[in-house]
Amino acid sequence: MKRVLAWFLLLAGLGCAVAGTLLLTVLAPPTQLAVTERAQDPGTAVVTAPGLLELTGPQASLRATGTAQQQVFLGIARASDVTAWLGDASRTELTGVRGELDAPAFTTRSTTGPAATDPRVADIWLATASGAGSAALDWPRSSSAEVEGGVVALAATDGSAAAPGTVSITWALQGEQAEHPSAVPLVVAGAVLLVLGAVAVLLAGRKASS
Amino acid sequence: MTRTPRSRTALLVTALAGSASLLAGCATLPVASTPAAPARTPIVVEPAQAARIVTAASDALLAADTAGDPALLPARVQGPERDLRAAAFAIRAAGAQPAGTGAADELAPLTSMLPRQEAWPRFFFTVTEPGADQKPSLVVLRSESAREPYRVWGTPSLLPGVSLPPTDAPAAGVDVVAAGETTNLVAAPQAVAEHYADVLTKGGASEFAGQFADDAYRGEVAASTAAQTAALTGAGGTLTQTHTFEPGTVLAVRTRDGGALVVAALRWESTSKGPAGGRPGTLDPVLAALAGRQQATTATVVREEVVAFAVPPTDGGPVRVLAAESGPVSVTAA
Repeated sequence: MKRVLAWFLLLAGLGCAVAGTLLLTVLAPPTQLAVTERAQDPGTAVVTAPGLLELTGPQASLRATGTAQQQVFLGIARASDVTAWLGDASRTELTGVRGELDAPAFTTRSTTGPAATDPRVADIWLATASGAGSAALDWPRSSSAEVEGGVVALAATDGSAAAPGTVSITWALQGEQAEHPSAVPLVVAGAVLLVLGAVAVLLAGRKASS
Repeated sequence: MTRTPRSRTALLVTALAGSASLLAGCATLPVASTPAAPARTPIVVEPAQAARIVTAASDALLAADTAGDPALLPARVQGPERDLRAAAFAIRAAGAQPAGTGAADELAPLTSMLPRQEAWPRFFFTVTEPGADQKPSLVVLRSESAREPYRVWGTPSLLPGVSLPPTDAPAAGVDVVAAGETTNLVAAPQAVAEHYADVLTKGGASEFAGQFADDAYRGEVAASTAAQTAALTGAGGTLTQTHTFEPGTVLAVRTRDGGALVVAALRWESTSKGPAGGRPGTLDPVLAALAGRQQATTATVVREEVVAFAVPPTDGGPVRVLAAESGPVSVTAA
């Protein structure tokens, strides 16, 4: 019976160690979370909900893409300032992320309304990027911490035409999202069980031979 | 006890099944959490934003002044500063030399006072390096709405020998004082501006003269008025002049000593009349440029003034005038 238990420990340890190693390597979760919103009619602006930029990781990388003819604007500002800038203008709000890590999508809320004005004129922006056809911007999480009340991102064109149809945000995953929560415990448990199993097998073998 | 291959397989399966059961906690999507509401009203702009805004305003001022084109002003200039600069462009275009607002076009910030304010219109103050008059300026920038940029509203130059009342560091922000607020102040900001206008109009005869410490700007206005009055009365003419507070122009923040730094606009209107039946007199080139004529028997000159005050806390002494700018913006002559 002791011999069976020894082999059980050995095999269980091996299984745990192999499973843990696989979860840390080939079966590891993606290092980044990239979510894209494609909207046919996004309204005047696409805006993130407060807290979304700080979803995970040390920084959020934003990209807004429109048609080649559109001058795309990306801006980050205090949430209350963007609310004031939008007024009752039509917009698509990215409220959160749903789905699985390997196939995530934004949860959205659309509001109809009139056009806004050219966002480049306003001085509410903490950071901006503009470009023909697309614009990209990196926002460090540490910068959000310096702004009271939270920040949001806004993508638009000239404030009266439709906003860019594609908006994506990529976060570097961190913590539980960056590695499988069972991986390290499995490796550690596997190593312990392997040692215990090996010792038990040796002892059982010595006893049997004597 | 002997072990069969079948039992070993069973053991292996059991071990792997046990391992697999540990995989139950799979990696999941993070959830966004709403940031906590700020404990205090946020500052109108972050210090880095303020620096960018001042640079943008400076570039616009420089472009407009270089071109002498008043059409370039509204993008980044408003209120008294726009009127003063547009008039200066007209004077320069007519070949005369405007007195100038004194402030540098290239605004080099020394420090900023960033109010804690949620609603619009918003404003902030920036103290800049000396301009053409070799004096630092207290640059006032205002934004009318979230969709509007901050525009330069006034650039009064600090008067000789004055020091600004202490305020907290830019990032700490300053509290806004309402135009009619008297909490811990010798007078409400609007009352201070109204009283100073009365003092400029009546001089020492004003009932409010004692509320204000002597200042260089009041001295210049009194000297200018006295000189013009003497010249006109000597020729049989008259000079009447009034300074009035421009409603809705008070901007004020709390200073660290419990007082307030107040900025307001005044309107200075003076009418000079030659002797009845007399020959028209020759207008000063600056006034002639704005009047569109060289000679007149009567002339009404409207000047705009931007004045900054240090209003002390209760029992803190008289109100001090910190900075001022003024210039003609229109002349009606006949």
